Amino acid sequence: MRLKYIQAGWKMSLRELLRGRIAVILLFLIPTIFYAVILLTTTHKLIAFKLASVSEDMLIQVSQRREALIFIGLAAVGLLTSFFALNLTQKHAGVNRRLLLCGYQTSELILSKFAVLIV
Amino acid sequence: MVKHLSEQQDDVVLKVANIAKSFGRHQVLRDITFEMHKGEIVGIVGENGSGKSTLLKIIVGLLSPHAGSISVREKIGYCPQDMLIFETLTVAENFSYFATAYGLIGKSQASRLKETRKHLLQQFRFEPYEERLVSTLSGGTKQKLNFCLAVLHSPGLLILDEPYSGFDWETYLHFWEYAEELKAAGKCVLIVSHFIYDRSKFDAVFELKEGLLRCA
Repeated sequence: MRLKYIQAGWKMSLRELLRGRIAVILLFLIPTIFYAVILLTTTHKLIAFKLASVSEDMLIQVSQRREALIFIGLAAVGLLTSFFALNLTQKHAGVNRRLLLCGYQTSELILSKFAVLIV
Repeated sequence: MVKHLSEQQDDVVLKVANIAKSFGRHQVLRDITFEMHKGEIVGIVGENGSGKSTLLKIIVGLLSPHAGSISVREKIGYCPQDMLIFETLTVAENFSYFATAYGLIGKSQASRLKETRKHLLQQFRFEPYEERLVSTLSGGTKQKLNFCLAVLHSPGLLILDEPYSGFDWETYLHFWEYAEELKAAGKCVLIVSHFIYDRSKFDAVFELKEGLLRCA
């Protein structure tokens, strides 16, 4: 695997993604909508629950809104990551195949796109 | 399936032997055999759906044949029929991305690449669009880029699938100037099209009909 190839692929894939209007809009829109739903539907009421990893008798009390915000935050990250991954691999599937024909290795292309998702 | 030719066959750049391909029951190619030698421009014509693009895809390695073999001596440059370029990158960025794919990286290659890129941009008259996003370009300019990406690494065998379908007349003439340059440098050009304007520019023209290749 060649680092320079991955680096170049990462740089170009990132530009590609950031220039896509829908991707940038969704990046702001999804978390906003998700958080708004939580803010409108939850209160600061404390809820108690048990953690499976800790002793059975131990109850943890957390604000309903804070707990829901963590959950919805993770859901938003998951949704956006899946969308971006699909966008990066499927939108230009034909061009990516051409890059492979020109000399890229499949692993280098996948890694470069995966690196974009981490960023 | 793609093999390299032995040293004894000095002159032969591409050898296609007994290629057959079917999609389900439909046999697209039957026993296709031909050779290309250094400095030749060869054309393959045929109606839509006759299997021209399938044959090219087999030669470049995108499809595997059911029978037969392909032997290649030189680096291949392939210009597909569809415009396979990154629409959200600029022309310069597309050049840079494909240059990396071809292994044209590092200081030693940088000046050669810059020169080749400049030559191509000038030859096909799209230098002013170098920093423009591909999505903002006309179909013809995109086709020029699609073509230039195939020749960026100076391939010895250039395989073109309907290369001038989006070209205006002037670009078509520039294309032939460029093809003549390649021919003079001993490189091979294989052009597939559903029609050929000027038979005299080709060293050989084959017609693909009912899966068989014959001299046109």
